[in-house]
Amino acid sequence: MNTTNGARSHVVRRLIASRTLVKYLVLKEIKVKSRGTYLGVAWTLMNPLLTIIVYFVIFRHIFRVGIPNFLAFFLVGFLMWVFFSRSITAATTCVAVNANLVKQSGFPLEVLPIAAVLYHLFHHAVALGLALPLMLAFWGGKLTLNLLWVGVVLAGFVCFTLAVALWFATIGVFFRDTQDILEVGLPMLFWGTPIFYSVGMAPEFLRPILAANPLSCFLGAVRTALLDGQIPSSAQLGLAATWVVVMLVLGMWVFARYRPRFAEEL
Amino acid sequence: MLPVITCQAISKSFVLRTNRQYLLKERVLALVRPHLRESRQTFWALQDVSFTVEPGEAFGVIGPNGSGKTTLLRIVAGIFQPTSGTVRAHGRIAPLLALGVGFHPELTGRENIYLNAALFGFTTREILEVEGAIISFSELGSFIDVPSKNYSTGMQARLGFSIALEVKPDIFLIDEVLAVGDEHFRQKCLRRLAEERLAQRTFVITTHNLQFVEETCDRAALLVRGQMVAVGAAKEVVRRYRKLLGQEESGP
Repeated sequence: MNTTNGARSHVVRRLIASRTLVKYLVLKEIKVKSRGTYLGVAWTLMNPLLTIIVYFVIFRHIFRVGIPNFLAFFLVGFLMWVFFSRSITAATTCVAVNANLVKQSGFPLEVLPIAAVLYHLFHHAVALGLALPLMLAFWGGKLTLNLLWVGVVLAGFVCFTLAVALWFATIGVFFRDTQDILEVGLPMLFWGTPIFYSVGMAPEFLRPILAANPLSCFLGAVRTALLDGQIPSSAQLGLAATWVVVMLVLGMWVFARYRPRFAEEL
Repeated sequence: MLPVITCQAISKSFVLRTNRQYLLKERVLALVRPHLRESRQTFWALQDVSFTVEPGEAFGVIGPNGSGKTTLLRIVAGIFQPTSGTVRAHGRIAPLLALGVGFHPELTGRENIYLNAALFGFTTREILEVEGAIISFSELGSFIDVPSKNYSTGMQARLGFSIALEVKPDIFLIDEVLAVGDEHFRQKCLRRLAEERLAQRTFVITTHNLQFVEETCDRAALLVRGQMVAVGAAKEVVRRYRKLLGQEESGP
């Protein structure tokens, strides 16, 4: 490690060199979370599974949402949401939680939010791996070549989540009540995201607000490819790509800008 | 030969805050309630500190508590950024600023070896190569697979020191950590440090053990209230420090 002040330009190279560290940070999370619990990692899958059943019953059989293939429609959106919200929540505290490491050695701190996001990605890759065959076989998913677009859009969604995670990791160092703000903000965003409904069901005056939610375009594009078997519209893809690029550039900038002060603030 | 560490006119200020606004809520409230506003005071932990360390050298940093020794090591390690001045360090650095604090209490000693060696920049293959040597030097035996929350302070220190030795850094930054561990392990570490110095590894050591500095270090720096009062041959600098301490004791 060369400690020079112009080290910022080497971020990418340093991250590649830190892939082993990312791996052990993710493994640490998995071990620490599952140790001393009876079902281990299974809990992180049980939680969304039980929630999914409750929501499905309520929205399908009580509110009687008339969307075709509602289970798959809502399941894919819900899994994406849980991944996003858990990643952001974890990223907010990732620097403070690892204060002992941050104060002890000079490693590229970007690995902390990256590991936080990858930890949740690991769980949701498992969850999606279980759900996807069921969706294709029983719940109206269309097995076409356009399914590849699901992978492309989800990869973009992970990048978008990482970008937002970099923001919240930075803010979380300086303001300890970021978690409290998220506790209120995330449920609001949850209902403002078309998870149980489609944008088309909303009255005209609400649609611009829903469209301004960056999560809408990712959810929409995945559903187009999975449930309609079609290539997502260029509007959806363009909007999603713009969100990824803009947020990633801003997220990397804000993190790099304030990173030198993290160790002092803890 | 080129110096491995070059510090040029390093200054570091910390903002001391009373009424500290950790919360966004407090910041917003302070806009309407001026008496809640935080008051800031700048504290200079280091002022205009310059020195170089040559390869294979043992460089001691001495001075009273709160004179900026640990801050200096953190800046060399790249954990803190200097407010002004430049630091250049060539080679891989193993900062031993507080042994064992990089350990996660729920992970076993072995799992902590992997995490800590990865922090130093090791790949899995490199870690596997040194894992055995780390465990044997630490003398932890079967305790290595016990969660480290069950370790004594001495056991944590032994493991931390063993990891730092085996990851073969070019520069060791040691902050007052030789004080922990029993006499047997301390002697073993000192012997090992002597070997490492023959291998051209560089040491920067802060300590209150002046005798250790006289016997082990080539050169030393004396920090008093963030200012570098003296830098040069270890014996000379220690003599200056002793004189200073004597003055304070017999002073008015």
